[in-house]
Amino acid sequence: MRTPSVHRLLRIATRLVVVWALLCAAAIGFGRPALTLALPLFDRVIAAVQDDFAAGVEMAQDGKAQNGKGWVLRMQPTLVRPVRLNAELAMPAGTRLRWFATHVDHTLVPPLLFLMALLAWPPDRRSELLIRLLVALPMFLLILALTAPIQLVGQVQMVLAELAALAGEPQREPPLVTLMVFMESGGRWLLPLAGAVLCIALGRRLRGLSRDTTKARPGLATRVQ
Amino acid sequence: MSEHQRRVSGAPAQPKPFRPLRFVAVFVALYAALHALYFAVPDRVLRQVVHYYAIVAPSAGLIKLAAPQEPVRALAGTLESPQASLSIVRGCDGAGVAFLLAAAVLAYPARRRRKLLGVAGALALAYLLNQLRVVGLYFVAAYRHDWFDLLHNFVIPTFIIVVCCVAFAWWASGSAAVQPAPARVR
Repeated sequence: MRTPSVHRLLRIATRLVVVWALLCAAAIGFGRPALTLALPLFDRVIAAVQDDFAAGVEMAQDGKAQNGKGWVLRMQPTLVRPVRLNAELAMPAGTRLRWFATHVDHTLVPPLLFLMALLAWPPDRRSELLIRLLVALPMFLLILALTAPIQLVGQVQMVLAELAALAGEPQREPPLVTLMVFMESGGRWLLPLAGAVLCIALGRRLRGLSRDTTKARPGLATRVQ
Repeated sequence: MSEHQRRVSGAPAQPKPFRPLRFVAVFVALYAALHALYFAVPDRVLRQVVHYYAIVAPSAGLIKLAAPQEPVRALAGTLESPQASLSIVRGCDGAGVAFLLAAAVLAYPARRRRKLLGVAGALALAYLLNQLRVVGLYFVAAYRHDWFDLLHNFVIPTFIIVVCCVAFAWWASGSAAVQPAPARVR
C-alpha cells in the first residue's frame, strides 16, 4: 500500500478550498441574478415533466429566512385539467394551488459543486480546461433542470398524492416525488460530482484527439488517479 | 501475468485501471442502492433509535462539553433548549454524504482490503463531519439565527463535500497501485 504524499494532499486541498471559497463568494454576490437567467429553463422543464398544472417560477424575498433577507424560488400552480382524487372527487381545472417554494441558496449548491469540481481538477494542458468547460455546458443545464424544477413539481405532486390518500385512494408515490426525494437526500450532490468526472474525462479525451501539440504541464491529474 | 500464474506465485491481485465511465456508472448505482436501503428503514426507527442514540444524544453531550451552561436536551430526534430547537430528520443525518463517499470508494479500482478501510474511513468521516455540523448549527440557531439558512442550505453542505473530495483524493492517491489508463471515455 503506497503512502500518499502529504505535499500532494495539501495541493489538492488548497486548490479545492480556494476554488470553493471563490465560488461561494461569487454565488453569494451574484448567484441570485445568475439564477434569474435560468427561470425560463425552469418553466420549460416544469411544463415538460407534467401536464396537470401551469406555473411560472419567480424569485421572491422570503420574510422568514435570514431576517427577511433570504430569497426563494416559488410558483403558484393553476390546474389546467381536472385532477382526480378518487372515483367521485376531482379538483376542477382552473383551481389555484398554494405557493410552493425552494431556497435560492439551496438551488445554488449543485451548480456550485459542479463548477468547483470542473475548475479545481487540474488540467493536463491549459486548452483542456476550455474544452472541459464547453463539454460541461449541457451537463450544467441538466443539473439545473433536475434540481429546482423537479423539487417544485415534486412538492405539488406530493400534496396532490396526499389529498388523494385523504380521499380514500391507496397511497402512491408519483415518480417525480421519488426523483425529488432522491435528489434532495444526496442526489443533488451525486449528480454534479458524477457529471464533473464525466466532463473532465471527456474534455481530456477530446483534447487528446485535437491537433494541439503544446507540451503537457505535469499536473495533479496525472498523478492522483 | 495470468490469473493462474498470479495465484501460483502468490502475487497480490492488481486493481483494474481507472475508467471514468465505469467509475461513474458503479458510483451512481451503488449510491442509489444505499439510498434505497436507507429509505427502507422506517421513520420511527430512524428517529427514535438511530437519530437519538447516534446523533442527537452525542450532540447534546458535545454541546454541554463545549458550553456547560447551555440548557440543551436531547428529545427523540430533536435538540431542544429555550434558545433553539433543532430537528434531525431523514436526509439531515449525514447519510447522503456517507453514501456518496462510500460509493466513490467502492467504485474506485483498488484492492479489497483498501476498499474496506476506505469505506470504514468514509463512514467515520461522514459521521464526524455531521456531528460537527449539528453542534455548529445548534449554536447558530441559538445565537445567530439570521445566519442559519445560508449556513445550513449552502455553506456547510458545500464545505462538507470539499472535505470529502479531499479525503477521497487522498485515499485514491494511495490506492493507485496501477498506472491510470490513458484518458479515454468508455
